[in-house]
Amino acid sequence: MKKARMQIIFFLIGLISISASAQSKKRLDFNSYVQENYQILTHQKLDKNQLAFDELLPKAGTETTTNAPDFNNIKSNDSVWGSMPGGSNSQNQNSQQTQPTIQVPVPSPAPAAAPAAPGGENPNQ
Amino acid sequence: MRSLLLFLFSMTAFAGAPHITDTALSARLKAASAEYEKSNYPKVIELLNPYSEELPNPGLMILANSYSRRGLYADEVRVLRALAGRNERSYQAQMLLGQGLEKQAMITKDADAAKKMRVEAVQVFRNVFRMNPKYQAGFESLYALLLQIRAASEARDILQEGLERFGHTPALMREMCRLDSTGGFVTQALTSCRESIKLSPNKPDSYVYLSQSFFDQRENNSAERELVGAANRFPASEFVQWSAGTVFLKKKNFPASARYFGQAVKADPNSARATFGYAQSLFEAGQEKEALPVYKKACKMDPATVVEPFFAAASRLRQKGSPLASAYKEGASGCH
Repeated sequence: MKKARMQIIFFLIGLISISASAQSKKRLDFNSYVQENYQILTHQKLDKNQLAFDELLPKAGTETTTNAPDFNNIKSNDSVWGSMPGGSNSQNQNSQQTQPTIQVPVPSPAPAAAPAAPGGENPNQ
Repeated sequence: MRSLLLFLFSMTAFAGAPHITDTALSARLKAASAEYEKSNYPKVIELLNPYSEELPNPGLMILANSYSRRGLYADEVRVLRALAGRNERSYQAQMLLGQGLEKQAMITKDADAAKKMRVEAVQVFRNVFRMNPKYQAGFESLYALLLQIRAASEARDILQEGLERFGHTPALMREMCRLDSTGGFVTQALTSCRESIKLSPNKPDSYVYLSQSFFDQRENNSAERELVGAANRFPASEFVQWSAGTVFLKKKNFPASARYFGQAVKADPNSARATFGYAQSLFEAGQEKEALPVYKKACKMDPATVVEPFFAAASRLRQKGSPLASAYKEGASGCH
């Protein structure tokens, strides 16, 4: 009987936390807005001429809030600006596909001796 | 008389503006917030837009974001301008405005208008970076946008500031290496690319840029050594393999260039440049039969670049009296 009661209590706690989490997802603050914008802009920025920003995006907790005004969220007393966005929506381009133009001086008049071509490459290396 | 008319006009305009008490605005904001949580963005806009001038910051943000969710970026920017204007010293408000302008530029078809928006966004992001130099998202947005508008020199300056602010992180150093190398800062590139390779030995790009810088310095042996080493190390990198292929193609070492381009195509079958290089290399190496399907594939991928060389190859075969000449001509004609 006691076990069943405990299970009900745990179930209710779980339900409340899920509900709270769903609520918080709906709330808008500065960071979620910035993050959302990143997602929208990522499609545009994913240009082969630009490199990855996989490590560039700010990590949580690195923000200085000296300039943050004391705005109150409608729902709570949290700052609407919130904390820093995470790094998951950066321009996560595969750096193996960058596309600069390589300019190599062409030897003249005769081509130089052929350097050894790579042999036995393992594509899974 | 004129001033009286002006006064009357302004009174009329004032009488036409929506009036709302603080209590009513607060209730409206609460209702809008509830609608926002239900993702009912048209309703949020309907509730808040008529009173956008009087809304507090959270209300402006909800209104702007509702426009954003509906893809109405021009309206979003209008609201964000009000937010940023009211919070001139807030880097957050400026940041949102900068991003809003970028989004608006993204959907603006008029190239000049889009350019103006991006230029304004650059200015806004500069303010963000100045207000809070430790805010990496601001720095990143500014840097990326400068690259996008092809302001390479300014991007490099900002990147240097970024290196000072955030330290020599692997990502920043890779960028520095790339900009130094492609911008012709050869001496700096040799240093930054070496540092980049040290920081991210498993990222292939910096090896290529280092090699490029050696070529720029006429140190061809070092350049080739770097590139061949990188090609062995990164067989799955289209960029490295394509670069090595390009070097050997220009040196007219066609068997070697065919190997590298072939590997590049394996690494990325959708790479038009690698496929074209592979076709050229096979052709020049005398493997015309093998080159034909590759030429056809390359031509489908990038007809603007490939069609002329494809016709030229057909012409050379015809001059040689090769039976493949007509197949090449047919293939090149099918490009269009």
